Amino acid sequence: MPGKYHIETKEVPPRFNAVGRFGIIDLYETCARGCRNCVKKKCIYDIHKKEFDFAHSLDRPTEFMNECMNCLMCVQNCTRGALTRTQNPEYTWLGNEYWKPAIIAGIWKMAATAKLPVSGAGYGGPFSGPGFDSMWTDMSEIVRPTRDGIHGREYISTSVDIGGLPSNLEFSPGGELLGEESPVIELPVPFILEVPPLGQISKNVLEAMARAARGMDTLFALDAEDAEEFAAEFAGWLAPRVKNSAIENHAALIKSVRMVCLEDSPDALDAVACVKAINPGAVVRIRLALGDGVEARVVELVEAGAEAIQLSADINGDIAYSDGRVEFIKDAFRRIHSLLVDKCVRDRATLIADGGIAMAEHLAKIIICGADCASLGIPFLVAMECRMCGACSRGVECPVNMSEVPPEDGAWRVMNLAAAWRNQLLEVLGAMGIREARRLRGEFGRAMFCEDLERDTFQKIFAGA
Amino acid sequence: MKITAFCCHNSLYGVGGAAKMTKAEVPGVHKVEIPCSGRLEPIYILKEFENGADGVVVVACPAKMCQLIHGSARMEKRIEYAKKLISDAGMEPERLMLFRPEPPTAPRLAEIIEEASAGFAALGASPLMAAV
Repeated sequence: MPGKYHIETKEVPPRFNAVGRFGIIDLYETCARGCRNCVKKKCIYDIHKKEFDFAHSLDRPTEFMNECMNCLMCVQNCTRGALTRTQNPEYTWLGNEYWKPAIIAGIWKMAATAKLPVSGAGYGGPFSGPGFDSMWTDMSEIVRPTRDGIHGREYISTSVDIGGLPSNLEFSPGGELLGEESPVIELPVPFILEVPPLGQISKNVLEAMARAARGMDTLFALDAEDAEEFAAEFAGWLAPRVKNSAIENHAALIKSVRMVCLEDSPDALDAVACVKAINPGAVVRIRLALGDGVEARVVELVEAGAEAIQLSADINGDIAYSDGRVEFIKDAFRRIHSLLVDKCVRDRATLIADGGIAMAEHLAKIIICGADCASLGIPFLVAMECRMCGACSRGVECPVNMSEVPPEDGAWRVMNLAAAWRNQLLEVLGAMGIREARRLRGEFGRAMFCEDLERDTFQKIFAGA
Repeated sequence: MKITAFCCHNSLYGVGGAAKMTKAEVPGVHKVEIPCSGRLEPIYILKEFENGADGVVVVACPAKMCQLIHGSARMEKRIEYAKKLISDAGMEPERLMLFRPEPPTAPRLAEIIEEASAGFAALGASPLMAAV
């Protein structure tokens, strides 16, 4: 029996002190100095002593330690009221309205330890929200830890295939298969790595991602010019993004890789044919930006023989239409997947989702919405300590010096995050009673969508339909 | 000039004003946002000088506008104490400047830093670094 797929992990502490959320303001001038009941000594997390040592350490730059666990014990019990808990302003500046500070802080913790961050303070938020938060997965199966999940004896596969499957097979009278076999890449995880559209992308960052792709046996999509540099060592795990006009220039690179990425254009299918002429065994991915008229174009491409199509939203998962409407990526995928099913061509091509996938649960949800796998860039950049502060785009010095990420440590952090996400995916699959990520694709019935429920419940009352 | 600015978050944006403003930044200045100026302790100021700062600027709320009531007042005492320590170390206490304009200060931060850097320029480079 083959061994279980496993992502190797290694604890890698961050190069820079992670931006914490809560800190304590100590107005020590108010202290009674001798009450013999000092709450600072009673902190169960020993935060006050740690902060003192942190501030007085000679080998550290000026940094404030904001690792208070928010239990408020010291604030409530100080007899002189000298302590106040505050939120670190730098924490509130992390990310944007979609990539919230809690998401980024969670990614950092997973990237450092490969463990899932657990908070014991309960969930006080709303039950539904925008984006993926309006979607609830069915996790009603009884889970037995010895059977299901991360450490269960039954194997749950997270493998996915990239490439097209023929709708039927034809055989000669002698029983031989007619026609050409279309190439299929089997990835053990339902995501590929991709160079993110923002951040300081240095050579070290690219090397770290290439190493991680090799470590996980997945693919890493990067510009062909950069891929040329790494081809000698990582060719089997690279998916160069080649300009349609420059295919011939990268012929040697294309010959050595398993997947080639092209941009959609009127002559995209001619470009695919060019790539196939150089390397018939390579899967060709065509990237389309989600927007007006994309459904018709996807159907056209699939019917014309496209094998893999990447559909990209912006980094927040939003799709802007010319009439001013904004749609979230999950809704577009549901529509496009259903359309391909109706046309009976869904299995002819792989759909890859790109944009707005910030948490492990988003990965499961986008697969439920019809994607075969996802292309992830920003989560892995954040794993390498990027703060998404936008300093690089404003010409300000990067606070975490992304250009000097050690490639080996960066790769470990990427793999740690991937392992933590995969473990969460295993738990979701186990709790759904599904044993394969492939089977999750397009399983709308295994999720509830808030907008559907609201429509079913209230439309007949308020709209009379 | 190597300048560090410790800025009270409420002073920069006003209470709850950060959501409406972009993050205040001054190129070439190491800016550290703190939730209240009361978070600042002399050790942080001294470490900045030790790390080679030519001057340190503290931007805080006026004492009566402090959200933590006593934070700004306590910070003022700490600044006085830090100035004494700097002086004892053989540096000019003017290398530590305190500004307490009415919030929000973010749109005027560059002016404040400019004013401070003119003062630091008159003092020249940090003698601490010259000694090293």
